[in-house]
Amino acid sequence: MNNLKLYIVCLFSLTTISCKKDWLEIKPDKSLVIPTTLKDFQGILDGANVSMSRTLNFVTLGSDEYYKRLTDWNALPEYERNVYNWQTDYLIDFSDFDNNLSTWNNMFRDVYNSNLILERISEVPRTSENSILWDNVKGGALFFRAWFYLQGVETWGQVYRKETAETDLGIPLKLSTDPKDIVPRSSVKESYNQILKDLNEALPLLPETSSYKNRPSKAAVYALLSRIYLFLENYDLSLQAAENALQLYNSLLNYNLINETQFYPFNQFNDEIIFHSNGTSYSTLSSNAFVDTFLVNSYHNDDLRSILYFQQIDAVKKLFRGSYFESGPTYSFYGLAVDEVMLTQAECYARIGSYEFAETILNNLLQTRWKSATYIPYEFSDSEDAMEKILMERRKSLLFRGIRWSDLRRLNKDPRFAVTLKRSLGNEVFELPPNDPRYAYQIPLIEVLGSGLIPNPR
Amino acid sequence: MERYLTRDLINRFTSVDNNVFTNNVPVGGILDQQQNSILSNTLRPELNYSNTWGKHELYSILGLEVREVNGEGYTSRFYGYDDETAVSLRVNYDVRYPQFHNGSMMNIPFMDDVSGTTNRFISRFANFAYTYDKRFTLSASARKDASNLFGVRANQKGVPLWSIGGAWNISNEKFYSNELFPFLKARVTYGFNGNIDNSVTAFPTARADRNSYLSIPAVVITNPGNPDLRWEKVGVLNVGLDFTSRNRLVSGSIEYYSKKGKDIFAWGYTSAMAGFGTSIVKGNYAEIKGQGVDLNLNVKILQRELKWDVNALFNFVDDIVSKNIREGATTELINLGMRTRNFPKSGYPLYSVYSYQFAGLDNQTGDPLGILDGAVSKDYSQLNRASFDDLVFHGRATPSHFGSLRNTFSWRGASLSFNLIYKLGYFIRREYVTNPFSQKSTWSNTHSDFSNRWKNPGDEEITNIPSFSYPYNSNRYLFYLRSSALVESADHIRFQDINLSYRFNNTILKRINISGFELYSYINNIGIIWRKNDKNLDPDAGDIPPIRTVAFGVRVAL
Repeated sequence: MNNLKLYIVCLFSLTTISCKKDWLEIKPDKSLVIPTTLKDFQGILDGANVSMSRTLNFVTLGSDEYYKRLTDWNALPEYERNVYNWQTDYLIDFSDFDNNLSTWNNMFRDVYNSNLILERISEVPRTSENSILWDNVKGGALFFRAWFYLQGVETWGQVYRKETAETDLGIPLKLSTDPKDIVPRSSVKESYNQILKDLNEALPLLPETSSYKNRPSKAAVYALLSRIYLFLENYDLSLQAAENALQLYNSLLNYNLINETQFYPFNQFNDEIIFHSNGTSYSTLSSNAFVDTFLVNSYHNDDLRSILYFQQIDAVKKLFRGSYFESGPTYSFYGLAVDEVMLTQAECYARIGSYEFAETILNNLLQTRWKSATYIPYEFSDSEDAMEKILMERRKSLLFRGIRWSDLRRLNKDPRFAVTLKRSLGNEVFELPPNDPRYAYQIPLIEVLGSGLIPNPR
Repeated sequence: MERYLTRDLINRFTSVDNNVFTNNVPVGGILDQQQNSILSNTLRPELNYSNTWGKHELYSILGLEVREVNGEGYTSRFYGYDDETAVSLRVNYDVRYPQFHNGSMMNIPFMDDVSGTTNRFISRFANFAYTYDKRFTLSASARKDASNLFGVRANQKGVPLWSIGGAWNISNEKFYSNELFPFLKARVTYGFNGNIDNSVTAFPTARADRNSYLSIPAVVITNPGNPDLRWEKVGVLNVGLDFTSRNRLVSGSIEYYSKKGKDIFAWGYTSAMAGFGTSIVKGNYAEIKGQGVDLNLNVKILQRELKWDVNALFNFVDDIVSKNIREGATTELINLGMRTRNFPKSGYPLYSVYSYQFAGLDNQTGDPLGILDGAVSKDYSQLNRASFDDLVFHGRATPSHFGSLRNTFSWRGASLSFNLIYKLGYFIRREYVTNPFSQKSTWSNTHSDFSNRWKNPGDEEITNIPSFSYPYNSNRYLFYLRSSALVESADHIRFQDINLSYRFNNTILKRINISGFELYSYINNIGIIWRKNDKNLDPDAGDIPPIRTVAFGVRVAL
């Protein structure tokens, strides 16, 4: 019987030996994290080269900034070939092969990061010690959500039209981390409203400017707002935002001080940058993406952009080398910079009739782009004239910034600026007329079938 | 400086300005150092209790195993290192330098790294058996293995396992008088086990990293986490019979089991909105049903000076998916099956091989042909979207019948054994040229099938490999990759190993104080003696067959 007592004692001690409940709570690898602290959240926002400050530059593939020769086009992956000549309803939909699907997936993964932070930050008390970090993190998460959804709506959403925006198809606005929360496509109007809401909420939380260019700031929010209001054709608000941005940050590079012998002349994180973001890689852009001939020939010889932006391949062909990320068109700079804000500001002034202001702003910008003392300032005769010249300078300054596609989407609505894009491949010519439904890329088939999303009309 | 890596780095990071060369990576050696240490501790208390009184026998074990394995590692790199003096030089990691050969900007590689890992395990187990009158046995066992799994809820860190059973020793009954099989025992058990998949987590998990552009800490989400994550729950009912014949000439067991699994991990479609960055994720999506028979037979054929023992195992399994809550499109079924992910379809085995029906090659162009709506077709984008009814279901991707046969001969000190194994009733997809011609991939190796491709009309009689096509048509390639042309039966019989040994007579050795001396040789992976496929493929190995290993040894016991 004594044996049995001993047995019971031992049994008891064995089952209770795991006294410390947290013995199994230790991380198997020090580098693993379950994000719960402000430091973790800031780390997620700073995961720059990994995901967050990457831009979905998918739209650049369809734009008119570059062209491919037939031989180079033939060497592309099939999906990119079809995007190049706007046969975008051709769907493959196997994630390994379909850039449309992988770009779509990436957008939601990046938005997930923001949603996670926004859900969890409420569990971290905001105190007098951590208030600055707390605000920056929350503001940053809101900014990034707006950033990625803007790219989404410009890629897959139908073109914004005031009259029909309430019923036109935007993107699904997923605002939680719950994997079961599958949302339908919202309207174009709802999509932009959500983006604007996030940005306005982020505004008071962010610092005026940021020491790290990958971190959003008030200046970045204003710069982005001015871009969005321009897309929405709300020129008053766009102008106001542009001026707010420039009040906080307005450094311009003097192109005379840029070393043209350096293969990629512009440094990353340079002074003109308000917010850094860079594109992802596509085969189409990574080699032999020759800059549009009309564009290349539009620069004056004394215009330093003609040298600093391009690598001369032969008498006619040039490649782009002028990204603010020390790179060509792939991995290019897709962030926000002072030049864009000034061009938007000038356009808005021209549109509301103050073309003299527009003239001053454009001249101030271009003075820094030309060889010293060679610049011949613009003198606009009227708003019409101002618009035409500003839009051309916009093209000449902001190439491979992911903006041209959105500019085509908005400008095509105005018969004065509407263009038909053309791609020639051998003897074949492909066209994309203004306001073509293909200005909205098709929703990946797998989401149409699996999540019941409505595909874009064709 | 002897190493290419060193010279290459020095050259890459050389900048030229007015014919002045600056070495941003100093001229000299590069010293890479790595240190890893592992410390492991184990504690294993165990308690046995057994007792016999009258007709009652009780036997029980209670145990605990606690284990911890700690790893630490450091790597560091010293540039401009001179081994004579042990002096290294400083480099600037923060500045991006133009690469000498193409001008693209890069940082000097920063290789310093510290790592730390801790793995902890606790197993608790208990076994209990009670026998009455050496005839009836009641047994129960339970076990729980827990570890510091990351990103799962506390109750999922451990996996439970239990079983209960009964046995009836028929040969101990008074009425039993079969002399051919003096030992006969019937048993039945029901067991349950839980399983968790380490690659999925319930909570969002991340990895600490650094933003190499800005040299600030960063965190990268590695798994968004699935809050619905649960254990796989598998229940198995076992019925078996153990037998031994007179003089132990024949012994063995036969067992039938039936299995039911719930919440089985499988790949399923998930909307991009879940945030995984992919459309296919793993979750508790399937239910399975299965049954099988295991037969184990030992026969002593000769028992004289020359002994010949045969040990044979025969297994049969049959399982099907009874339900999959995330059944996806046909395209996914076939696409994922290719990458040995199970994407279960109700009514079919968990791991299955499907394909698009292949209809030969076009005799003019060498294009692969498929069947669409009953007619031969080259509409690859439609062929790649065939409905499930148009697919060919070949069969299981894992064997339904398998087993082994081991023969052992021994004569005095010498012993020779060889083992044959067989696997039947399953299919594999052959490897093929990887993503051919998609880009300028002339530098990469390609599959040798490429050289046997269709080149001229008439070749379709002798080859199934499509012609080279340019520009690359991914749908054409994908169709062929997924077509039945690349599916082969995997049935085969393999000569697994030979074991030959000789044990020297003890009496001679004892004089020199050696208690045992044995010479042995062991040859593994001898080869396939029969296979159903005519491509000379090893179905278990993909394109590169397993290496045959030959070992010789001497075993000395003092």
